[in-house]
Amino acid sequence: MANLEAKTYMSAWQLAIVVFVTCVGAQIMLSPRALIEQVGHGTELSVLLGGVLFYGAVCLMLVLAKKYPGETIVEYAPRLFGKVGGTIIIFWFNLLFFLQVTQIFNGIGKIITFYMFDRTPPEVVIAALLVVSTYCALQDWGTILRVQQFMFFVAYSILTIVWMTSILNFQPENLLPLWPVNIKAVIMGSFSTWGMYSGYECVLLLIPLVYRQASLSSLLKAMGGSFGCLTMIFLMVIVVIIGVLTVDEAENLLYPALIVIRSVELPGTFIERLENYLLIAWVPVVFDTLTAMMFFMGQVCMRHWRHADHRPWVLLSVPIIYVSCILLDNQHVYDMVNSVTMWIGMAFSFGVIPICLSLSWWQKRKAGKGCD
Amino acid sequence: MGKKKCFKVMKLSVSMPEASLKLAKRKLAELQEFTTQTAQIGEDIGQFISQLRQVAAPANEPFIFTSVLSENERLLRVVFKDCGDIEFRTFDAGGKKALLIYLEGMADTENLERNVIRPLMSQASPANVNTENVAKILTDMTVISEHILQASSVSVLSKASAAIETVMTGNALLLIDGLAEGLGIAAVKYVKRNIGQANNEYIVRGPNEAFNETLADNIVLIRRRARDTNLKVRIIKLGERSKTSIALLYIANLVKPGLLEEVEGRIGLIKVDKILASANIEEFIVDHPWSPFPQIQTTERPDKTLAALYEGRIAIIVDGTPATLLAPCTYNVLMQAPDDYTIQPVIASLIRFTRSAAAFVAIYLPAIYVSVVSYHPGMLPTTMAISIAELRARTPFPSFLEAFMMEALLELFQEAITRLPQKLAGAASMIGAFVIGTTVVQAGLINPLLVVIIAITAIASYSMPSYSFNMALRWLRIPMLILASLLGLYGVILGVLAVTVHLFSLRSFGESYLGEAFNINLLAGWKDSFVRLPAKLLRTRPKEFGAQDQTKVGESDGQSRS
Repeated sequence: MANLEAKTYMSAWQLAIVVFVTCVGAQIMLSPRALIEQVGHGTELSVLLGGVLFYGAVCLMLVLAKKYPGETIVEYAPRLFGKVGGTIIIFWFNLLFFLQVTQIFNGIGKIITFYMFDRTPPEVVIAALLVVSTYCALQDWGTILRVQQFMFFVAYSILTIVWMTSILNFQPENLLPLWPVNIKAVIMGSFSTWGMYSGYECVLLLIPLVYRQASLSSLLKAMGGSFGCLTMIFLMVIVVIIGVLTVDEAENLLYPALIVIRSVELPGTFIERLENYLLIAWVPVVFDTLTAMMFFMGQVCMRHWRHADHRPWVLLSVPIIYVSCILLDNQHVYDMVNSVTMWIGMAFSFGVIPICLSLSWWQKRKAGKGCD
Repeated sequence: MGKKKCFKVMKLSVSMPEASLKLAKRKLAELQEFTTQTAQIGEDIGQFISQLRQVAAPANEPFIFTSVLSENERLLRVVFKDCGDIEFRTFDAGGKKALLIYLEGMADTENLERNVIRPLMSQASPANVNTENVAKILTDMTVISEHILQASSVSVLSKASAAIETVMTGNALLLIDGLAEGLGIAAVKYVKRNIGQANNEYIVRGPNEAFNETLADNIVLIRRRARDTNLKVRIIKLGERSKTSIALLYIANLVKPGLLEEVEGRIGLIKVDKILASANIEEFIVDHPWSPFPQIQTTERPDKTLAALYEGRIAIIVDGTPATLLAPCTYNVLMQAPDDYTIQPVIASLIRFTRSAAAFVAIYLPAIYVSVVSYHPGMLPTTMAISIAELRARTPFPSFLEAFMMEALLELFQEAITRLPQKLAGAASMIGAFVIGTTVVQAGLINPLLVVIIAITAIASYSMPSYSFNMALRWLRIPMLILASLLGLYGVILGVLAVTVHLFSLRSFGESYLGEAFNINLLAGWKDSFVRLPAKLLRTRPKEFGAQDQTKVGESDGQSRS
């Protein structure tokens, strides 16, 4: 059969959309409490700083990816670190996605059970979402890319509209005092926002799928747009939570975002219990992140073992993901895994990638020496 | 008293030995043996003849023409054995014996008489003085067709299979003694339906001509609308036995590279004995035959077909069916109606948006009802929740079962109305409306709100421009109801995601079914998708179909689009 689908490549802005939807995910509901508890007043500054910090990380990744056109980290990591070192880096890279996926499944299972089906076990909720996510992750990249764009326009619009209704309860004085803030807490908090911004690592896999003519500057610009939108969304969530609940109240609630939306009343309209609407709009957002990450895991395995199809790897990962997220049932274990994931992710972005860049530069320099 | 003399009753065979049962049995056995042997000999002769033929004729030919007319006639009579409607007309043509073979009722006999029989027979009349020249002409079929016959379309046939096919399509076959070739003479004329109005795609403002069952007529309907030499028609035959003609229509300088070859290739792979409708082909050439969604657009409108051709798509017209296939097919084209281009763009845009909303309602509304009533009554205003609870208290069934029963009833009535004769369909729909709308509620089986929900769902599905798409929406309702009954709104949203992914994953000849929607690389296509901009702004063809020339010549191509 002729390949009639000439849309196997994507533009820089499509990559930006993919990064955006992969990053937002579940953390807009799961992360705010821990972050507010850690930083207190000035959480919004941490979010801003985090945006800048992780945009810097993604810039490094783009520079690295541009050095190896047509290749992913799975192909060039063994050349930089040797066979064993490369395998460790690839495993590390895949572990990041795996840990995030398990935490997201666990988180959504808890939230949906808690707010929508108090008598249904979270395992059922997780299994149902896992089935649909797997179905999507089994598709080709063309399909997933299209789904992500569709969700970007539809699900995020609905989510934003529903979330913005909470402005009705917003009290600006709850944000005070704006200054002074605990600078150290703000800086440490900006590292903790990794959970919110994580997912940008996918550029290391996706750059070969972007049109070759897309220059580094256009990619940086598109990523800047993506991180700008991400920062805006997270700021909107944090500012509204604090504005509605105050810092003291927010840090004592497990899911403050849902309490914020639950308190909204729209008298004279047909709409009640807005948290259900928010959760309905949130499920596609989480689904988007999960499918992307499951697809990336399958892709990494496929490329590493030089297979032609990612689907067996996705199917293989399903029981592992399910069992792992069931094992995270204990909140203490969950927090510990969350913390470990964050440091693994930070180390990858700010440790492995700079080393990769240095090695790449060194190898090029070394290769050039024998030519004179 | 004397002794009474008695007659002894004896078998007839005593006085007539040839009438004995034993002899009769023996003779019968001999006769049976003789019959068996005769049949065996007949079979052997048949096999021998077929072996002889196999030697003489190529593998795919039943026989080869000889220069002996009687032999050709005998072979053709074998081929057309028990075909009572085949006419063998023998006549004298300039001193040579000629044979005209045609299908009675499918060939125009007047035409044959006037343009074939009369000119040939006149060669043999005593008035004709140029007999030498005639004898010369009658030695070559090409010369005969050029100098004697007055028929408009004639072709020389040297292969028996082509000659047989010519006869079976309604044309005439002329054979002349001394010539090992035949002449195929176009003389098709049979009873057919006239060009009528579109039954399923009626539009308020615009042309309403529709295809009929005749391939030639359907091609003419398109040709008449475009005097474009780039509009190409490629005819292929399909069906091992039916040999149905299929026309592939495309615009040579627009069609996406590779698309025509792909369509031809897929059609070429179809191995069936008969093609009775275009739907038979559709099932073979689509990428995902298990999907409920139509992956090939069907239309009975020539204007819609032509508009699709000028988008770079391909039309497949099947002889014997008015439903023409258009490929590739996407959600976008299925949701457009020709009327969209005859009304104001703003109104057309609103209608298109309404159609998409209706498609959503047609699948998910009953599921949303079941999930809200069963799992999330808190989402409803208190007064409404109380009134629904009151209504539901009167019915014995759970909401899922209620909705399922209503769906089943609706499907039953829809099927009955479709199958019944037109005069009874009205009565059936009246009964349906009465039973569903009143009796079921009065009997306390279903609550009135659900009746309203199902009625809205049905009306929403009827608003789809494509009937097959409407069927797909109907099909999806039951799985969605099951999901809603198991997992409430969470199940419904998972169902929405699964359907969305499925739609994006479907490919119709390389085009994603829902691919154009919200694709930022195809922004230009948005002008004529969920909305329709004024014709002045529609200067490009839909990018998703990959037409070679993206720019439309002029401000509008003046055709209503699919």
